[in-house]
Amino acid sequence: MRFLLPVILVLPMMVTAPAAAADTEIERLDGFVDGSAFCGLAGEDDEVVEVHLGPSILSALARGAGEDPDIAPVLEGLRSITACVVSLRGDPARAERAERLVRETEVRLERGGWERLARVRDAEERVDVFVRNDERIVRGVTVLVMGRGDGEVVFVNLAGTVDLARIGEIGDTLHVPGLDEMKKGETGPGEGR
Amino acid sequence: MTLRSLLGAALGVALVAGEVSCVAYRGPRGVEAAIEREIGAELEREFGLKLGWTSTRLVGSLTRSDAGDEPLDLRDLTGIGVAVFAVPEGARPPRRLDARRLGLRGWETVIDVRDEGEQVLLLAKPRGGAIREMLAVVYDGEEVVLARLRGRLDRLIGRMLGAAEEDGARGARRALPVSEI
Repeated sequence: MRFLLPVILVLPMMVTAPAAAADTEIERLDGFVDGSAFCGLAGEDDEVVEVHLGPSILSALARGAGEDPDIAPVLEGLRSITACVVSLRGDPARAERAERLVRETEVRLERGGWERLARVRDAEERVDVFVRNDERIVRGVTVLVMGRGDGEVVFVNLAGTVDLARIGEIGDTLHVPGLDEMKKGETGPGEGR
Repeated sequence: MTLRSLLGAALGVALVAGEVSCVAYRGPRGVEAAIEREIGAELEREFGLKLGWTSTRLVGSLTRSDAGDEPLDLRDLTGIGVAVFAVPEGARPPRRLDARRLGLRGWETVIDVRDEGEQVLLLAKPRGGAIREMLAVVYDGEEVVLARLRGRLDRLIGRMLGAAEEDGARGARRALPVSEI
C-alpha cells in the first residue's frame, strides 16, 4: 500500500496534465489574448458562439487538410484560435458594457505592444484589427467587432505564427466567426476612420 | 426514412451479422450523472444505440444512396454512439453546461454554442495528430442528446462552425451527422 499511494496520487495528475499544460502553453504565447470577458457579456437567452482550437486540434486539422494543401502550412503555424460571438439582442445596458469592454481591450492591447492594423467605422459596425509583431513575424492577431445594428460583439484571437495574407482562407475553411471582418480591414491601417 | 429508423435497420442487420452493438448505450461514463447533478433531476433515457465499424459503414452506404433526402454525411464515420434522454418536468435549467464539469478527461471543448436555452457542445479528442473521436452534447430544455462519433472528423469542425455562425445552436445541431435522431 505504501508503494501504491504515490501511484494513486500521481496518476490523476498524469491524466489531467496534458490538457492543463496545453492551456498554460497557450496563455504564455506572445500573441494570445484572453477574451473570456466577451463571452461573459452574454445573458441567459443570448446567442453565444465560443470557439477554442488549441495546438493539438489545429495540428490535426492541418494534417487533415489533405484536400486543401495550401491551408495546411497556415494552420500548422497557429497554436490557438479563440473566438467569442455574443448577440446582445438590442439590450442597451449590455451593449454599453460591450462598448466599454471593447475600448478597454483596445487600450490594453496598445499598451501591451500591439499595433493597430485596421480600423473601420461605418453606420453598422466598428471593426478593429490588432497585430502583435516579433521582428518580421506576426505572432498574434486580434479582431474586435462591435455591431451597432444587430447588437453583436465579436472577439477573435489567433496566436502562433500568423500569415496575414492567408488569414481569410482560415476564415473560409474553418468558418471562424469574425475573420471575414479582416477582409474589410484590407484597405490598410487607419483607413475608414 | 429517418436516421433513427435507418439506424434501427442497420442494428438489425448488424445483430444478424453477429456484430456486437449496444442498444443500452448511455453516452460516455459519468456524463449522464454529471448532467443530472447540473439539472437536479434524473434523466429518462428515450433512445440509445452504439454501432461498430460494420454497421456504421452500412448506415453510411444506405444514406449515401439516399443522399437526395437526407442531409447526412456518414461516410467519414467508423463508429456512432447516440443516447437521447428526456428532461423531466421540474428539472432546474442550467445557465449553461460546462464541459469541465461533465467528468470528461482528455476531451477538449472546441465549440460551445448557446441560444435561447439551447446549447450544443462539441468536444474533440485529438490523438496521434488526428481528430478521430468527437462528442456532441446537446441540451434544449426538453431533451439531452449525447452523440459520440468516431472516424475522420476534421471536416465536422468547420461544418459546425459555419452552421453555428449562420443559425446559432440550431444550426450547429443540424450540422451533426446524427441530427435527424
